[in-house]
Amino acid sequence: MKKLIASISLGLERELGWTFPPLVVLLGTIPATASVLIVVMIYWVGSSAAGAVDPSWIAFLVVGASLYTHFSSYIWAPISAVSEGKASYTYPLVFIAHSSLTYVTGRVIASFIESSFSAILALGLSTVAIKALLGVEPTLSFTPLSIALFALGMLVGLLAALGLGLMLAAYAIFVTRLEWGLPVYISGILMIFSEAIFPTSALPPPLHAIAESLPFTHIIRAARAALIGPPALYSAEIATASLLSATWFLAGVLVYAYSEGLGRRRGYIDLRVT
Amino acid sequence: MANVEVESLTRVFETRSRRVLALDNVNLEVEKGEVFGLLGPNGAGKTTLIRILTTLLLPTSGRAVVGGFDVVKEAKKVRGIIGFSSSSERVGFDFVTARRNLWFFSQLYGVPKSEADRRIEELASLLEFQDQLDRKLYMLTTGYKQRLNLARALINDPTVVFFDEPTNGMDVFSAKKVRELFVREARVNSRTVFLATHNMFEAEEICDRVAIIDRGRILAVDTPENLKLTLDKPVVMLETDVAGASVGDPRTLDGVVGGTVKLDSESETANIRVILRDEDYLDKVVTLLERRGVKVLGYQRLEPTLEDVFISKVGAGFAERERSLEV
Amino acid sequence: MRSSVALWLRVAFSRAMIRVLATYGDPLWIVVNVGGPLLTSIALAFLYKFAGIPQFTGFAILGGGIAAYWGNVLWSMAAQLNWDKRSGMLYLYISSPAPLTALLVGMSLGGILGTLPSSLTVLIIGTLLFNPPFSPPTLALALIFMLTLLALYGMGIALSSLYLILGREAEEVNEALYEPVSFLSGIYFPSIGRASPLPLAIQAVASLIPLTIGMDALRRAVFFSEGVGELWPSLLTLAVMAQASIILGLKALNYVERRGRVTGDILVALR
Repeated sequence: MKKLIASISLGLERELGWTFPPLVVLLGTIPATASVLIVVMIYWVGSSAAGAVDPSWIAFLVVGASLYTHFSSYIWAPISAVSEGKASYTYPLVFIAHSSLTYVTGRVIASFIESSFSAILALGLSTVAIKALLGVEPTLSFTPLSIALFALGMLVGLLAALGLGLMLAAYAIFVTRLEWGLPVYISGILMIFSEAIFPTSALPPPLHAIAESLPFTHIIRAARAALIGPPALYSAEIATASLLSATWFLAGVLVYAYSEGLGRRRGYIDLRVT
Repeated sequence: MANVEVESLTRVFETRSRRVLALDNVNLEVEKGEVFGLLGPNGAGKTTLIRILTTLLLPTSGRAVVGGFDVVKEAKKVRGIIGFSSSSERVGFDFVTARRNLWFFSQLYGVPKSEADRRIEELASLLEFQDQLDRKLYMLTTGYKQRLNLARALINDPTVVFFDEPTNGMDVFSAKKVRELFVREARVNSRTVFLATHNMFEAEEICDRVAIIDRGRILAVDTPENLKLTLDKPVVMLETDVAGASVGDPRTLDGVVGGTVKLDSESETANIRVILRDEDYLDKVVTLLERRGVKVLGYQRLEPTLEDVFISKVGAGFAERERSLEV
Repeated sequence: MRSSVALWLRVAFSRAMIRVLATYGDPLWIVVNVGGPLLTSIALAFLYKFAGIPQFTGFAILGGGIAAYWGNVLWSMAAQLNWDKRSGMLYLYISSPAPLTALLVGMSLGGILGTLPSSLTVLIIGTLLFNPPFSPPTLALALIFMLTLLALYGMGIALSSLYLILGREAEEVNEALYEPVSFLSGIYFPSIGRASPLPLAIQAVASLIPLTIGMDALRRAVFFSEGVGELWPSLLTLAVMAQASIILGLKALNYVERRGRVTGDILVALR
């Protein structure tokens, strides 16, 4: 536990410590808000031209896009922990100290904490901005219960994030250059398949299965059920999300542990990134 | 003919909270075909002087001329005739071959392609990396990257070439090769080689003349032999038990001009190297140490080194000086 | 005079060449670079389809093609000198007679050529997937594309000077800048003009960014077959903006170089 707390604290120091911490959160919130606004404007332009504007979809987009920016932001942390750590020789030292799994976990949690603030702020800010720009108020319900359910969804998301994070960290053990390439692709895939900005039904049917197998899809649906409704959908989605997240987490731990061993056998643990 | 002339050069760095005098009234002349060493601890002002001479930084006052051109008023002309290399900058572009990297740097000086090709081959042969020329930079070992870095500094056939701590991090064999190259470039190609280093051995071995610098001031300039000859005081190494390591500043001992203290943890002894005002103080120092509870196991008179010359001027060695700057 | 022009050309050519060689010599680099704009434009094209107007999927595809350039301007132009400063390469540039302007212009040319594969990949794959109704290429389209890129890379030159002063925060500023500028300039949706959902005041602010004018004109040329006759105000504005941003960029660079020699910490990372 001590190792985990130390890793979280180090991660937070790395994420927030380079300048005034609220400024870091603000710098994360601005692009996240802009991303949400871009998708809302696209929907508005498209549906206006088609003569079929439905304001209820705006709330759908605000919640989905905010959570998507959250996921796509913290998946960088494990790559950075391993690749940057290899370049600075921190990672091999952490490995020797038998704590690399805890270390990566801590770094993902730290990044999750930082991006949670940005995502929640982006949700609020974009709601205000949409009202000011389009004159439409996204129909989000902010009650203690809806906020609690939304927060629970984010916590389940942490488990899924850890699973994905550990798999990405496993990849980072073997990659020696352009390590940031994979997170870019993962981020793009999540944008298409996690129901962040359009319903899965808009995808060709054979691709629906991919969307359904992602815990993030169900976390976003649960968050929507909490903040937009209908509440009855929440329990089913959060249960599916929890099950999938736990599976991903387990898979992440196994893949990472295996990769660590393989990396050691093949001499990748301290192979520098160019 | 002097290729580098520095007159009353001063450079002050000012921030809101502090004012640092990095160079204080520096005067120097370096001849054509000379290997000149600027020797001093880290933070002494070596890099600042090189930055001014390579036109990257303006002096606060004073004047510097390189190859006959003023570094302030004729910066562009100076840049055309100098080369520069240090152990800390990146060598080039990772995904481009060594040959293309050298070609790129030759183009920064407007070297025609045929001339650039000829020089690339010549330098690669001189520095023994012809077989690496067509490999991408990220594939090269550190040793080859270091050679490429030196070749880069010479690609424009410079009149004056500046090296800032060039052998830092190099293995002994490569460092020896590099030093041989510096001497060759000065003797055979009549270049002025201006070398900033804190490596005393390097300065002593290859420099025709050495300037000792500390806290922005030039303390002495001469050949290494003459610098050592100016030290007419005895240098003594005292071997003591571990208690000797806690002596602190040796100047607190009566008759000591300056010195250094090093703990040898393996043999559990301490080495106190001191420069004495004269031979007669030796017994006094031994007595004083023993009065402080330090057991003197033996002592030996030593030939002075360039660091002793430095110690005789400022009272402390390079390491102590660097530590005092960190505080 | 002739020798300084020759030097300028040599430096610009060699810097462009190095960038092109580095990009094309490493196919993985192209694969990695294309991921962001390609997948984003696919996702946004699905959104247009879902919104009920499949004809507009082309907005997302075209946006992805230009976003590749916008990313290149921010990461490989604006932030480049700051990285060069940290790695010591900027020292090598300054201590040589090479004009920094030539290096940056070369870097821009290399960037334009080096980003072409990413941009084309987005356009080709996007077209294959969504088949948006593109108009045939025209002179107006070529002119707008060229002027938009000139103005964009001019911005890159100006930002590179600013980032030299900012120091290591440059990357964070880039991160913070990418999406808001993408939003305001309407890379993926019309942010100015009659189809824009934004209030006039915001449109006025957005119009100060050359990319906004460029994107608007590109969309009109590509999807609504407008030619030089209709687009001349945009062409003129872009030409002025391109010129202004390049002049501003070069002046800022000269200022930073002069200032750097005085302060000592702008051009070299202090050790």
